[in-house]
Amino acid sequence: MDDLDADAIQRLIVDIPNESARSEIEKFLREFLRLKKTLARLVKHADRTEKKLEQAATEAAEKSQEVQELSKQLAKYLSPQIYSQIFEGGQHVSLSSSRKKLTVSFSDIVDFTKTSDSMESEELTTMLNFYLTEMTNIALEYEATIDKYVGDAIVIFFGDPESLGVKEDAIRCVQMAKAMATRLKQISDTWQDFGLERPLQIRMGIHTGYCTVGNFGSENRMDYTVIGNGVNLAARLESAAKPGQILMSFDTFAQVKDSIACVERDQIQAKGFAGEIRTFEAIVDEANSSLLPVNIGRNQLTIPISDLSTSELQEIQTSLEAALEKIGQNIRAR
Amino acid sequence: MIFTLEKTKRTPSVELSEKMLVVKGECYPENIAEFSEPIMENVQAVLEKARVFDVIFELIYFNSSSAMFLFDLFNMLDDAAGNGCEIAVKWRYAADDDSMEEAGADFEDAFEHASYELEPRDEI
Repeated sequence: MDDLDADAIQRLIVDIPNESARSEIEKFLREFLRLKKTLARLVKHADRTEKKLEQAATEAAEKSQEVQELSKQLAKYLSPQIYSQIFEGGQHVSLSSSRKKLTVSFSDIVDFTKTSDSMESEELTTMLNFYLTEMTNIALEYEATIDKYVGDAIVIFFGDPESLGVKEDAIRCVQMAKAMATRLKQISDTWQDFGLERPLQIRMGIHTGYCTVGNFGSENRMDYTVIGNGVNLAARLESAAKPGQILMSFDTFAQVKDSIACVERDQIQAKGFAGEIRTFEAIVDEANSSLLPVNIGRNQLTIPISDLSTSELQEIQTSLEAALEKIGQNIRAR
Repeated sequence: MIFTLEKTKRTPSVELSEKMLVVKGECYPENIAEFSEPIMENVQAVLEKARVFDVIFELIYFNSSSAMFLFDLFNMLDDAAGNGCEIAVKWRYAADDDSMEEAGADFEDAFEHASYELEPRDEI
């Protein structure tokens, strides 16, 4: 059958005596031959299509690899949480925002401008990148959303796109700030390698409050960021903080007071805010601080010994001695 | 015009007159029988009366079931050519489209009686 062609058909039917039968058989064989050829062409077509599909699959795989590489590069410009949300389809990129209660942190290097003026640009770049890398690693460890770097300043917030609850977000933010301050102390000898006479010091401001968070800008170019009075207050607290200080608002203190040792500091006037703002400092090194913690049930009274005058300390001593006496009497009476 | 079909996402445009058949576009219909039967019936009817008939194909893509339809159509055309109708078939393809060029070359040996020509074009 593989050799069947028009000549072969003639040879096959030539000896059939019956003309009608010969004609029918010839018709049948010709149709069979035609179908056989059609089948061969279809198989060839199918093979060609399969080859094209394989080619397309290979090209698609290559393109996919390219896209993955590109997205890895782009990921470096986005906060990991924002990147994940976009690429996992959890967030549609559009000009939209929402109001949420976030904890916002501003930090910067004390006297950075003065420091940078005295350095060559290459040294400054290396130093700054080293500092930002150290601080960023800590921020990521605490799953912070890094909003932006503005020179030496870092703006971070907790509570969006993911939140562990307002209280836990605030605690994490302050813990992060403490970790940053601790790390800076640990690497205090490093700055000499960059030509700095003195170690870098940072100051931080933290506030918990309602902010508007989302995409701002235009459809062609937008930025995922946070705005509002809450953000402004965090920035003002940072400006008011002393070198090495982590200064927070009452709103943040209220969330973290049961978990983190804090001491109240002077009230401040903040531009754009009416009245005085109560401030609280997170104690970074509780073991070596000059704070006297007094636990009363679920509350903790923290007395900053080093900040008080002798007469103030004597007044506290007298008051505490009287309190201790009363407590003793109460215990004896039971 | 005796029969026309408008181009869709999955089927080509078809224009049939007493002297010409033109098929242009992509061919991968959901139901090949539904698409091809009216074309075959109408072309058969035209060929029974025609003495001269031209056919132009400008396909960008066709699937396997459409390939079967094309073979059946070419067989019909070649049979008509064998019965005395002067039939000329042109297979037009984009010059940079290797697949359509190869497909066109495959169809060449389907024609014993009708004339068949491959025609590369800069654009389809």
